[in-house]
Amino acid sequence: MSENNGDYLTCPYDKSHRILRSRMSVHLVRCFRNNKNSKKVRCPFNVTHLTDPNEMKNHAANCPNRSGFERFIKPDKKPDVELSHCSEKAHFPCTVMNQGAKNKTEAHVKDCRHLSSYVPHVSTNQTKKWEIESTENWDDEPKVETYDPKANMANKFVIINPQGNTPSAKRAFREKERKRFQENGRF
Amino acid sequence: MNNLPPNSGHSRGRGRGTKRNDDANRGLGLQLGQTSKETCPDKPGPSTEAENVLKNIPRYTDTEAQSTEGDPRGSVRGRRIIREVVHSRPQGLTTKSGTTGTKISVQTNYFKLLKRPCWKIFQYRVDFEPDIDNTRYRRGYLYEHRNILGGYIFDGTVLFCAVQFKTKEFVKKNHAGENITIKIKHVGSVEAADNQQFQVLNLILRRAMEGLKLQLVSRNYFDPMAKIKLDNYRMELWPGYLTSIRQHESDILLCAEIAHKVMRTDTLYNILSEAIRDNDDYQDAFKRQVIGMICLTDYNNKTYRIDDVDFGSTPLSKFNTKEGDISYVEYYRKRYNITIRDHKQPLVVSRPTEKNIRGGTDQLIMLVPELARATGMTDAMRANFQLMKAMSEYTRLTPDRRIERLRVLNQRLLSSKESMDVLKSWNIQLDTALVEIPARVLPPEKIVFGNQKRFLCDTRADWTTEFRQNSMYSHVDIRRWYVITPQRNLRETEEFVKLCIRAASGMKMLISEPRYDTIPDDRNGTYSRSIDNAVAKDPQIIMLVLKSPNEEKYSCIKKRTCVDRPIPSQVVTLKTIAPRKEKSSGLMSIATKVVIQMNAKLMGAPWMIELPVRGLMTVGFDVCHSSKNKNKSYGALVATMDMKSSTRYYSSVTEHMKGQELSNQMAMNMTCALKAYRDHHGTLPERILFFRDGVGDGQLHQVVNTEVKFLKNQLDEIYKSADKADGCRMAFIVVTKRINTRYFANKRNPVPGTVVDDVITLPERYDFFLVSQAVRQGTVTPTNYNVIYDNMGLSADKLQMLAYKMTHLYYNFSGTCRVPSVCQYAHKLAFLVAESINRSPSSGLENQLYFL
Repeated sequence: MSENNGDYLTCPYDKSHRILRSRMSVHLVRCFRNNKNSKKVRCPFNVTHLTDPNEMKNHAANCPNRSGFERFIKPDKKPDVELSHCSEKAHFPCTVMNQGAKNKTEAHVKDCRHLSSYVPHVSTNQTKKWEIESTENWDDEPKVETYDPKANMANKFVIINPQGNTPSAKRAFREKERKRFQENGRF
Repeated sequence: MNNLPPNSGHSRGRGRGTKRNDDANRGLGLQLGQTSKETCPDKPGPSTEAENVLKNIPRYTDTEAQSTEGDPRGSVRGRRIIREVVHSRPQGLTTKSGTTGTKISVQTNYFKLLKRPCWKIFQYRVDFEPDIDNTRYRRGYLYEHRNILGGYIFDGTVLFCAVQFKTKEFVKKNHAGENITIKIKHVGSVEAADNQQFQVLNLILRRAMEGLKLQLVSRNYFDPMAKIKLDNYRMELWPGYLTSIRQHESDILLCAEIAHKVMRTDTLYNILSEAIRDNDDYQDAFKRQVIGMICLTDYNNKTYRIDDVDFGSTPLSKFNTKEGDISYVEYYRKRYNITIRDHKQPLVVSRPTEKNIRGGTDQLIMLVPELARATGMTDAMRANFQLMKAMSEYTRLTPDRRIERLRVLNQRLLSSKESMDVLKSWNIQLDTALVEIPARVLPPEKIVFGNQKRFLCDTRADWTTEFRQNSMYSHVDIRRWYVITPQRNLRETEEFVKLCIRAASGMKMLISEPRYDTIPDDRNGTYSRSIDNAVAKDPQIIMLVLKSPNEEKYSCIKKRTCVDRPIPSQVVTLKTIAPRKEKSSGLMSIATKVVIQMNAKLMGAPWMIELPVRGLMTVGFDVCHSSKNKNKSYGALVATMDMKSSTRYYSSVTEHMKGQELSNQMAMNMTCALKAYRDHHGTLPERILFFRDGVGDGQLHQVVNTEVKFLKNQLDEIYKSADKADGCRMAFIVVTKRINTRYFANKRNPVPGTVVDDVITLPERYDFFLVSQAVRQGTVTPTNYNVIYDNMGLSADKLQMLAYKMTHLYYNFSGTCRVPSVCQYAHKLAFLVAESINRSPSSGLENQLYFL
């Protein structure tokens, strides 16, 4: 038992809930049903991280899952190269989030001799803005409502699995279905 | 997953892929459920005239496609009248059925349950005092009271029967003279409208299958009588059936699928004797072979993972039980009536799994080699071409043989007395014919090559040969690149590079002469140093030559090039680039493929398809569980940036907890993807199409409640902050590859693009089946698409076509995949990280398909 102890977390809704780390996201869905009024806010980096609103700022600054975001904001620089005078960022201006830096790199990009190799050559007349023509255009068609299986099922005599509901809701659902089937003389 | 050409060699990260299967096979022996190992071989033959004819067809629009009813591939033969297929939905409303394409009729591997059972059954719980572990004994004791119970179903704990009573107690003496009390307690009832009736129906069916003298192995029934012995390889193939009864669109259907179980006949004792015979240090050799293996013990039908061998103990050693110390020999004789022959063999040790520990077993489990049968296929077996060929002869069933086998199963069920009795006593009647349903073949896609040349896909869904006459849609000229090769193989490498340059110039792509870096030996360190030196010169890409496929070297190289020194890299093995004389004819096509792959890695687009929607971002997500480090799983997300006007991608990898399939950080990953999109295009995508792979039926609910919910919230927030009040238009589709559904067109495999969206689909879902890949051997497995969230504003028809379009864009294979390309990319990335890199790759590469 002892070696697993580290892998249990405490549920943010209820301190008495000790949950296996890997089951946390499953538990939170269930526990949320009992804590609908909770004012806790979710961490933008990991949805299983819930804190009080005033603590969130602190948490977000120190969240262990922040690394992925940090890496995205500040992409790795290539090690300085002997030949080249520009860094990786210059070749991928879009990864440079900072506007100031962008201006600088744009100037650089213009006369960088490495750039040519990074721009894909599209075999059309326009090199900058290209677009594949399509025989159809679905954008102009009217918006279609999505298919709703629930509405469809309501007037059919199919047996439905009430998965994911609370036990009481499941029981109520079963009673309702039994009645519906009986009333319509299905059995 | 396997639809890569067979000569892919090491450069595609294949051949190392077998490892993953071990995981899937844990505890199951080897299950060859998926008999359709799609191998799409490259077809080097000259492009046929038929293809040219196809290209000359001017315009193939929807209206035309619909009117081609006389199309021979889907026509219905005279005597086969389609059984009245009830159109379950009123026309005009939004449906999940599409309309585009040629209508055909397909046979499925489903049988209809003709008589809907209308009974009320009572559910009881049965307890034994003192407790009895063995289910067979439990069943035996209850069987004696069959007169009171009437027809009943008992699985060891739960009893279903038609007789109502409150509680019952029986007392019975066992052979040792002990008093056994059976307590039966009423817990509930099952009515015809309850979902639980399917549990009962499936139990009844299993009971009926037992009447056919089938044997239960782990979860499914297999036929030991019809076993196929492969004596040369010490294994047996047991044919079997996977069955399930379920509520489908409007009827209750029985799905039946043919599977094979590989049973190895050698025990660990055999392996031990071999180790003693062949090695000086047999202990070490034995350990090396068995540690990590899954073994099956016949006496309790359980599987264990072997963690160690205890050479200090023998079956004569004693262990502690409630009744005092007892030796293993004695224990097995008493408990299972098994005599252990060799009293000197060591014992193997299995560490209890976390589940065991939570269940109360926290001691090491000791097993006797003589009684433990090896399971799974070793790498040596898998590499044995003869063996695999011998096996595939039986496991890869062509559609007509599969249909025949299903018919035989049906006949046996309906003619065997015991099984018929079971079915009759519960008032169930099974149809004799396979369910036949309408399907549609979607119009073929146009592949766009360089200079806007278009190629209309044919039924083989393969355009490898097109690169002989067409250039790539967009390419990146390679002017500065490095080739790192061992000194001794310089000549072969140079030859191959020349070939690549020639292949590229055929496709109007410029590849300059590379700089060679020859390394004196092929140690890991030497490769790393050479990579460092090469990267310092800022090349566009580096190519590395490996003498032989070596997982460790590959992993070392990929770590270097994806994490420490981010740069696209292309690894090739000597065997691929310099094959033996008799096989060298296909070398040009290999070179072409390598060039295409390198181009894709450098953000070129070898080909494109026509997309009828603007501003569409397609996202794929998949999780890969590492085979080496069991504690880690990786989830990869790959997103496109409006493929109508960009060849850019965005990818990111997140680490998951052990075995965790759901992603907690999906919302964050999507935020980054959107940011990348906005930086590239200046606006947010109009629509987002999300394909999620690797979710089982049981996790669907969780996916809806965690991933989709939070993803939607976060995206809406982003869209609102960008002044788009409606929020984000998104569809979230769960893609499932491992399903038991099959369908056949005229007793053949359906052609790519065949969609089924009625009858065999589920009423509570917005789902459809699609065959997008072409296979040459065995039966094709359709892919299931389940739309769990949608506000894209597109009809079901459009979504189906969009999904089909997306299967055409996997640049590692010039044909269609079985899943949307973004899913395949995500899988490839997650697999690379889990198997080779084991950490997040550098973000400097996130816009490229470096992981191809």
